[in-house]
Amino acid sequence: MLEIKDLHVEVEGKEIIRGVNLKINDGEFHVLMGHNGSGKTTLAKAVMGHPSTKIKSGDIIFNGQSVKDMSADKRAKLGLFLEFQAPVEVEGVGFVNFLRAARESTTGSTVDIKQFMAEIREYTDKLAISGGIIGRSLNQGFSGGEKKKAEILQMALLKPKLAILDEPDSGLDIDAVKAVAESINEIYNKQKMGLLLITHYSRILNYMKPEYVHVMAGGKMVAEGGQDLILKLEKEGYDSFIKSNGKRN
Amino acid sequence: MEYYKAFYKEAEELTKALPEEQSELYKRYFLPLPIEELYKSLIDTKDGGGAEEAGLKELAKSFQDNLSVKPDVIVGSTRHIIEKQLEFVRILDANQVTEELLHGKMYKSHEDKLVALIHATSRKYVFIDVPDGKKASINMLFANFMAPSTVQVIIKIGRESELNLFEWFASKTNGKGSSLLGVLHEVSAGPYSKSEINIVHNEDQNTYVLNFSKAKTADNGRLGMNYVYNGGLNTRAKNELFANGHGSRNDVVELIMGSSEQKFDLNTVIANIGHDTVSDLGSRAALMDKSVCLLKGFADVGPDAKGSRSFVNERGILLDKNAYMSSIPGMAIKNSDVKATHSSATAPIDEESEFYLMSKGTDKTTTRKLLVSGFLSAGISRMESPVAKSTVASLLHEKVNSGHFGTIPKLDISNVWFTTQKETDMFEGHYKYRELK
Repeated sequence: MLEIKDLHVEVEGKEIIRGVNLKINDGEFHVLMGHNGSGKTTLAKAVMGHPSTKIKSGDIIFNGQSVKDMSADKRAKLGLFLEFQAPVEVEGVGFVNFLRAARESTTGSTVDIKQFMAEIREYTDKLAISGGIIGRSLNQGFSGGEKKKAEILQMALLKPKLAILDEPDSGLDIDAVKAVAESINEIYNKQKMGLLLITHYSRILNYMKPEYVHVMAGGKMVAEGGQDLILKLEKEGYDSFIKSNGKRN
Repeated sequence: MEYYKAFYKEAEELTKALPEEQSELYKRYFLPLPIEELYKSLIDTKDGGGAEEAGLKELAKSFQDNLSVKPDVIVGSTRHIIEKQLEFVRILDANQVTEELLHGKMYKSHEDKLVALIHATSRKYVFIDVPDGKKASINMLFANFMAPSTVQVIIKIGRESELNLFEWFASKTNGKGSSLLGVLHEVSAGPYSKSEINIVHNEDQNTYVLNFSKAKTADNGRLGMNYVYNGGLNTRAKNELFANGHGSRNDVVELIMGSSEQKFDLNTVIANIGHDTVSDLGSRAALMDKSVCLLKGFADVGPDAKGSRSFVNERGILLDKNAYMSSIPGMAIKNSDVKATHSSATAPIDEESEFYLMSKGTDKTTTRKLLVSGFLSAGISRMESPVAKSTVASLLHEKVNSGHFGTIPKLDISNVWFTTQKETDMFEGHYKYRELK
């Protein structure tokens, strides 16, 4: 479904991604790990088409077509979804209004607001999100945890084919990590979508079962494997991978 | 019009350019108006008769059909219609106005040549006098139907009284030359009164707009003045609001939505005169195409204003590279025991916000509409009147969608999200913008 081919990406004139290859087939669950500054978030942004990322060479193929020159909304309409590490606060744009506009744009059909609200409530209950955030502006006044949960809520409602989750566990307390992980599992299983989860820590993976694990360092993939790689990382840390395969940015 | 000419002989002289207006500095900070031309068109205006009356009725019907708000009073260039008899409202022709009625008038004729112009040419006077302990809610529609017009609205709000006033300014010029709609408000809010006055300008593209107001609030009175500038070719406004009595509070909202080649030159002064007073000016401008806005908010905290708070917050969003905004917040503080901030920020649409929304699937056009509606709805949220909220939201929604103005929009509040804003948020916001610099 997603194929990243020898991707080189610059941000503000500096090469951050240095020849990444990655393939995610339909319904597969991948994890991308790496130390701070290894290029994980830049890779996620490049896949989604963030204007600060300049693709110097390589390609991003999604469902058979190159998306590297497409705007972010077109990529979203094809079924890509990015959960933000630091979701932007958007003043005056109501959370529900935004969700409705996004759903209508991605599906091309008008939302039945009553049914849509019921769907929202279903996930706010599961994610233990305070009902109050529904009445607020998008991400404004949300706590760090609420922002993360709100992103997962968006994923549930927008039903992407492939979701890239950029550190959904950061800023969450122990209970919230478990709740978020369980919700992601449920959405993943229910919607049969592909998943690329980006994280520093293995904590959230205690509640999840990824099939493939990738490790990034210095803008490159330096290790790939199964769940055993997580255990190795836990034991040896990132430095052993950096020393043998790459360098810090 | 001989009556007016005789009464204000010097007004014609005042409409000629003053020496300071020739200076480059003046030209930089003020937008020019063809005053002499406008003055001549005003004094040449003939009574519109039955045609004007029919036109005003049609406009009122359209207003009611589209926005579900029935105007109580419709005031035209030479005629007015009273749809509902209101206890505290009187509309008089200029020659019916006595010196007694104008006793205590805040504006002096010569303090500004545009004020002199309005004084010299006002055909209609609206007097709203809410007695002590009474409540009034009034919806008014003003229109310069096929002729230029200027009007004065003189408002007195008694002790412990409440006034909720909604005014919508429209024009219908049929594209024949330039026209003028000028309004001058004088508001005197009594002790412990609580009022909100909403002034919405949605004139057509051939109309010059003058909006002048002075307001003073007595002890523990609360006054909200909300100005919406959406229509007109060229708008000049000067609003001065004085929190005179101790414990009084003036909240001022300015919302500006510009498109095509609209120009807005807005000068607002908020003054804390008494002790423990609050003056809060929040201005938001969203500018499209080649529209221009000069936003000059000034906070004046007087020597006796101990314990007072004053805020000036000017924000602008530029939607096209040819749109231009200059915001110049100013402040003069003459007492050290006060809390005051002023801030200003103008920028194109935030790239991160745009990417965030687009990455979830909304196309560029929808995203920009959402962001602009959101930006403006923060201002709409500060209005209390449901009528003002819904009509202004509909008006701005139409502008964001089509860039059109000067017609009555259909009621549509689906894209507006009403939020609340606390004073502390404003402080945090100010510091945030400072850091961004």
